[in-house]
Amino acid sequence: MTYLNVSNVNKSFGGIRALTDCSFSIRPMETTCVVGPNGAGKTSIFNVITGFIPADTGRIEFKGRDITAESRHDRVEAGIARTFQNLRLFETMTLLDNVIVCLGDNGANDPLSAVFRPFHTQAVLRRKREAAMMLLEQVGLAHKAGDQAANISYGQKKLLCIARVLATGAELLLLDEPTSGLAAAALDNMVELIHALKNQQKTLLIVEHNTKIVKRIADEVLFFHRGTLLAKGKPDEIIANEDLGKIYFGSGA
Amino acid sequence: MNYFFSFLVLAEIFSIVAFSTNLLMGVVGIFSVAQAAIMGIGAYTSGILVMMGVPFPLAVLAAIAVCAGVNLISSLPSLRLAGDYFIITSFGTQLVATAVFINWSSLTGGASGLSGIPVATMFGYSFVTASQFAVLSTLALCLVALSFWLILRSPYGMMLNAIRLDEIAVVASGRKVLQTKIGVSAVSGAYAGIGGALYAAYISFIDPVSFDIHVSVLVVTMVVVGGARTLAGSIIGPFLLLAIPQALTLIDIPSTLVGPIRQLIYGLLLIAFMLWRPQGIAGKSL
Amino acid sequence: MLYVQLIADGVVTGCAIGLVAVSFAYFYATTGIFHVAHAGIYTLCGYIAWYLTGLGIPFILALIASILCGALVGMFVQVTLYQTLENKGASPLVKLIASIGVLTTLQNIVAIFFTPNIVQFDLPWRLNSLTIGGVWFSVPQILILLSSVGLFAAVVLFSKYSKLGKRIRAVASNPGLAEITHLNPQRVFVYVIAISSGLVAVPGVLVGVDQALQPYTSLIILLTAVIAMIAGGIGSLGGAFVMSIVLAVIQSLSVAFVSGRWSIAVVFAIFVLFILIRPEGLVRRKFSRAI
Repeated sequence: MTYLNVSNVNKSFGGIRALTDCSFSIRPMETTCVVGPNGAGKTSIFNVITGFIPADTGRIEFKGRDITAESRHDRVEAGIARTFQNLRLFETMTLLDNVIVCLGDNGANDPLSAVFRPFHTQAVLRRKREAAMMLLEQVGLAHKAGDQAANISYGQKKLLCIARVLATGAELLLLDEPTSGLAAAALDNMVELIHALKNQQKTLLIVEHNTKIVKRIADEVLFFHRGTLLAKGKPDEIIANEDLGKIYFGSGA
Repeated sequence: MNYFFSFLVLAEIFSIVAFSTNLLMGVVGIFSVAQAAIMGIGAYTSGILVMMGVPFPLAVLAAIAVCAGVNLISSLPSLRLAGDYFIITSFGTQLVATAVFINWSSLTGGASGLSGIPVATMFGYSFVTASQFAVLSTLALCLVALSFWLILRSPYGMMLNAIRLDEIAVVASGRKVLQTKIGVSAVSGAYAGIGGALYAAYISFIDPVSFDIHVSVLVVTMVVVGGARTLAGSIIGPFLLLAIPQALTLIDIPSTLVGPIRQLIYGLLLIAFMLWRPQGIAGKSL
Repeated sequence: MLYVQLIADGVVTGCAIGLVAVSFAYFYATTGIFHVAHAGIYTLCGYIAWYLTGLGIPFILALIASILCGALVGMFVQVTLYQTLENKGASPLVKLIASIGVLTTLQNIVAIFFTPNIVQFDLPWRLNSLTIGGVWFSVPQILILLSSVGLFAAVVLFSKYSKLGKRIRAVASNPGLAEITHLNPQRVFVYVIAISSGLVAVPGVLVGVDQALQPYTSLIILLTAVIAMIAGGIGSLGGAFVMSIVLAVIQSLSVAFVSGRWSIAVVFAIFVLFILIRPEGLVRRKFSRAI
């Protein structure tokens, strides 16, 4: 039984092919990096796996269960969660509240208990605050918990995205460019965090542009080009491959 | 003095309806221009039931249930789809409700409305005069405001805010957005139902014009002027805007122009606040 | 024969609504602003023409003047309101509420400066009629038919072949990209609102000539038009026009079965059916704005 298995997925938008016959699988508790030039279909494959766009054809299985037709909500419940390239933080909310909203804890989450069981609701909220605080600590943002998300640095925002995706309780995390736009220090920090996540038995699928970073974090690399999986292998093999290098950097094209 | 109390009662009833709109529009960001229609459904439900001899408290409960249901059903097709469909559903609900109030005359009395709705009686007390009724409407407003406040500070309220800020992100974190929106539609409908039931009992006369699109626009203006997402906003707006017609009576203008001038002021207020103060007097930005 | 007459009436009404739908859709598909105030411009233009003909100005000149007034008012709204809100980064909800403010303002300006009452044009020829193949048409109805079809064709041709029309389509399909290629979207939006506001003046005046003018009823017409736009597929001007006619014919025929006072309910029921069965509309378009 494979962990996540994507088979023969096709997706086109009004005649433009985003994904062509994509098939691959990833192993649990490994970090898999998705690389490829712009427009290679990296984010599309994220969207298809998490249900944000339906695949035209093909099949997606997670831990032996066919999730191709399942709702986005059910996929998170099954254990797959994602971040976004454009972050999508709740900018005017505090960091703590950003995480609380994403917590997979459904206690007191309806208007009736909010109104008729206020003390119970506040107890639930305290519990959620503690859980969210632990996640913020884990990503190193505990000292900013009360700040508005709009007021923290870009690097900190990226860390907050990780805290939010962890809050879902999912075991397979799809991170869309977690290191892009980060300065050296923040970058090292993020790489460390990714390693820490792996040590916590999380499976990671990461869109990553920087080959140096890929070498540092990836167990396995998927190379995408024009909506298809062109190559798959260990980071060193893929990065050393000259043909792929030409496609990636567009030199020989 | 009686004049003051009747203003107070009306402003409090509209504050309750403003809470209904504020919850949808201010908190979750779901546009609504049908809250007067929902209020009207509450008013007709409770009015008709009381006229049939049903005790007032039971009639209010029925109005709450019907309005929660109608608000939910009218929004249901659009809850599945994001965005602008809600605008049409909202306008459509308002216009269709007005058509029903006018045309289902065997039940609603048609364009001439229902008169002689009995006074509110609860636990042996009758709320006849404006000052007596003010006790009832103040109590109702306090309860609605309290529930609004409790909802906003609960985890559920956080999720409502988050949906307004970025619905996709909420979906991505595996939260049940649809279920959340259904819940909030029902609560908002229930508020409007309370407002409508109180209105029918207090005025003792209801007709389609009392709940038409102009009243809905007035309620939106109240929320915009008062401000979104705060208790103070939902109360300041109705009190200020209901004072405008009172102020207009001090100026000598032909009676046919009173309505249009009042509405012109509402329209200009909407534009001005959106341009220069989208957070209203005491609220947060829409 | 009753049914044929009902269908014919429906087609005429549908053509008028079609122009409202096409003009609304043109602005909406380009800017994404739900321009409710369009209904206010419709009303205002009808009353301007009514006022001018009342002064003894020939009808055709009054019509042209109201078209120009509509275009100017539209441009004014775009420049002073929508553009300012856009620059402030206002949410779609804020723009919509501001637009409702403009609608309310325009309707009540009409009621205050002209009259809050129902009025009819004082034009003797509006009561003339002719019978074509046993179907009765009033002269204003004929005018509505001819002008609507003509203007619809003109808009489609303009959008497809003229330089400005192509620029507008470029902005509509990708405002960000258009900005890079030196097509200032805000400038283009001013042209679009001028065109759509000028267009909506025509049904605003002609329906007023055919029937009567009222300050507060245009919202129902706009709602029907928007529903037709959705049913026809957003971004498809042809779809909006055709669906307007279909809707109006259904509405007109429904009078034979349910009272005409329920016609708004009939239209709304069709809308609910549509969003349940085919939310993307009849015609699926590549560049449709996600609604």
